[in-house]
Amino acid sequence: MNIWWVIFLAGIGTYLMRSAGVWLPPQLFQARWLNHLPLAVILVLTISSMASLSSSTLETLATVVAGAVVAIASFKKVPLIFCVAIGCGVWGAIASLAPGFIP
Amino acid sequence: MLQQTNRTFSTEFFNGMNRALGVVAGFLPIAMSYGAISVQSGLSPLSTVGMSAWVYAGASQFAAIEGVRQNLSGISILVTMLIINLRHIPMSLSAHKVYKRFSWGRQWILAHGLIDETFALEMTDKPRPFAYYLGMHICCWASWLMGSWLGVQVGMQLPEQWLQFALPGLFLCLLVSNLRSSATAAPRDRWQREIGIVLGVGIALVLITQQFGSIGLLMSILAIAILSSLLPGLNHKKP
Repeated sequence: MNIWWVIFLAGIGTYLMRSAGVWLPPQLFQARWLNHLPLAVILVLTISSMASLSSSTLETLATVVAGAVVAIASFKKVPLIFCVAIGCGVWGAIASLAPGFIP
Repeated sequence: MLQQTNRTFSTEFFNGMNRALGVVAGFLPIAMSYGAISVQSGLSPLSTVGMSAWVYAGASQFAAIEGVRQNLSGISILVTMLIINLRHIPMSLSAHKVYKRFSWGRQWILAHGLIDETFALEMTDKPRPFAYYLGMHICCWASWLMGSWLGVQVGMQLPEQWLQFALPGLFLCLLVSNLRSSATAAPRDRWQREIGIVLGVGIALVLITQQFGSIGLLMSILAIAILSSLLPGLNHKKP
C-alpha cells in the first residue's frame, strides 16, 4: 500500500469518525478502555521513537538527556515549539560528539 | 432581503474566523514542524500537504511520518493513524448537540473541521449560526495547510541530523500534556502510583514487543489501554 492510499483511507476513516454524531447512536461507544486509547498510543509512539534513535551508546545518552530536558520544559509549560527545538539542540549537540557526525 | 441575509452570513463568517485566530497562532508552528519533519522523513511535499488537507489531524499525521521513517508497512501506518483518531468519535457525539440544529448536509460539512481546538471553542460558547462555525473551521483548516506548506519549504533547507529528535520530542510533549489532563478525582498519591505503573509497564512492553514490529506496537497499545481502564485511580471522574 503506497502513501497515497494510506492518506486516502486515513482521511475517509477520520472523516467517518468526525461525523459519527451525524450517523451513529451515542450508546455504542461507552466502553471505558476506549477513553484510555489516546494516552496508550502516545506513550507507545514516544517510547518506540526514542528507542529507534538509540543505536549507539552516545545516541542513547543523547536521547535520555534530551528526553529529560524536553519533559521538564513541557512540565514547566514552555510552548511546544520551543520544547521540541530545545530537545533537537540537546540531542544534536551530544550526538555531534561522535566521530563521523555530519551536521 | 437577500442582500441582508448575505451580509449576516459574511458577518457571522468573519466573527467565526476572528474567534479562531488564537488557535491559528498556536497551529502555525506545529504545522510548520510537521511539514519540516515530514519532508526530512522522506515524504514528498505534495503528499505532506495532501495529508494535511485530507486527514487534517496533527497527532496522527506525526505518527504517519514516524511510521514512514521507521519503514513500517502501509497497513500499520493506516491502523495507527485510525487508532489515534478514535478520539474524534466521542467528540463528534458531543458536538452533535450543537450541530443538530443544522440541516444534514451542513452537519457533514462541519464534521470535517471538528478537531480538538474547534471542539473546545464550540463547547465553551453559546449556540451560533452555521456561518460562524464555518468561518472558524475554514480559518483553522487553511492555517494548518499554510503552516504545513511553509514547513515543507523550511524543512528542505535544514540539516537532517539536527531534526532527528523532533518527533520523539513532540510525542514526549504530547505525552506530558496528556498525563497532566488525565489527572482524576482520585487522591494524588494514588493517581501518581497508578500512572507510574502504566508508564513502567508501557516502557517494558514496548521494548519487549518492538522486535515484532507494528503488530507488537499495536499489542502494546491495547494492553496499556486495558490496564489503564482496570486501575481505579485512573477512572475516578472529576466532579
